[in-house]
Amino acid sequence: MQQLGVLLWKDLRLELRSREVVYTSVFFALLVTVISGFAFLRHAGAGEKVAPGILWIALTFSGTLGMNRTFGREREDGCLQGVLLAPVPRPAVFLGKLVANFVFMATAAAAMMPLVALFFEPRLFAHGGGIGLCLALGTLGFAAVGTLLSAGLSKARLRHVLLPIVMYPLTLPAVISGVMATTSILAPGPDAAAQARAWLVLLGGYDVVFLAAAIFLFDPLVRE
Amino acid sequence: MTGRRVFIGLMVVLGAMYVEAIREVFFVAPVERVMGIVQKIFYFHVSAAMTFFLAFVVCAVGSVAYLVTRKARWDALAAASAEVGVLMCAMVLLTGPLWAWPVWGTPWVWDDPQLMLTLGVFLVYTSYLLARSLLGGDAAGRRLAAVLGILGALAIPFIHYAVQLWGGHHPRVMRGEGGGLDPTMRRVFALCVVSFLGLYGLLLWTRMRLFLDEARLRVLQNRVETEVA
Repeated sequence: MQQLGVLLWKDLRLELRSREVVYTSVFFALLVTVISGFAFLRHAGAGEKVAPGILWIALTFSGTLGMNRTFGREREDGCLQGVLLAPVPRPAVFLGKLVANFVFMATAAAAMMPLVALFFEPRLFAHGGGIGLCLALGTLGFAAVGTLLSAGLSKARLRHVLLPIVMYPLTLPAVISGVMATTSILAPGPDAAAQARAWLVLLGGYDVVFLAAAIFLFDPLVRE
Repeated sequence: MTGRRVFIGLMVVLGAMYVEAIREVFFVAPVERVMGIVQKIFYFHVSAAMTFFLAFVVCAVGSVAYLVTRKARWDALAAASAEVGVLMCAMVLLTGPLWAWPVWGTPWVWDDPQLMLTLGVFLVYTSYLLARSLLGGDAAGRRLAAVLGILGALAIPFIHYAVQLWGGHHPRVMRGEGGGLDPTMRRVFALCVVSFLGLYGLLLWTRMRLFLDEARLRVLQNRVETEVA
């Protein structure tokens, strides 16, 4: 636990100094939001239909951008080798990276949610708690799969191209349930609330299974 | 050499089975009352769908075994199975719209659970193959491929539940399957399933051997190069 904290603090401190991941992710999310605005909204009033979709597209796209940097820093000067050789259990190494990624993605999500709300759907504010839970669960699943895969890709020549290609199909269930949970939360009525709960359970189940699988698979993935 | 003979023998048997299956599909099985001749595609469509599920399960099993044992033949099994699976999956995605256009009135819908499941699974394993080919054959690439094979299999039930929860508007009767199958139809269908599973086995065998031969060739190549140098 203490080792996890040290590894996590290392990544967070690096980020606090450079702020490269958070700045680029947030700005990229802004760009995706604006492009979506131009792409979908020629007429007023369509915002509420597309807002959940735009929110999740921005989250997934900007998430991949930051994820690519996770092990990027470690690759320089053989840092990854050093971290892996340290007498630290592998799950702690993985969880340190995962929590760092989660924090970066969550920061970007927290920055873009008000943006999407202002641009497209002010009701997102009223349901802030539910939407926040959705985004947190989605971000967790995304970070679990993304951290694992970027660890596996850290030495590959085409890692920047390959990460989204292998990540999006695997996170498809999380995206579907995230979008649908968001839509159901915004919809009125008890029926929609039950729907939202069902989608959140599915999203939570995805998180549990993929988090467990990622923790378990990290060691065989990086062990030579 | 005996392996080759067995292979050719199996190929001949399988070829005969396919000829017989096609004959029975068109001349023995009755024409479906509502959908008419279009329903005939179901024999191959559903057989291919069953085969790709098996193929992806085998891919996951091979992936787990590779991560545990690090033996090249398990990696070859996973890769070969995924390739054949994607082929079958593509066939399902092609024959589906051919059937759906006349029956549903549209080739593609976004709210049919089974169609969405097939599409999701197709994307997962196509990305698996793409990653495999771009990563090259080094050990790190093989390990990542194994992880992808396992995560892919874990994603299938989630895609399944997600699209179930999403869809659920489609009339079940329209799917042209289920318990109420005519006995002759059922027999012809069984022949098709067995033929497809046989085709899967044969393609798997060939592709696996090709993978292992390629690996052996690489080793020899490296040895020649180092000895020359």
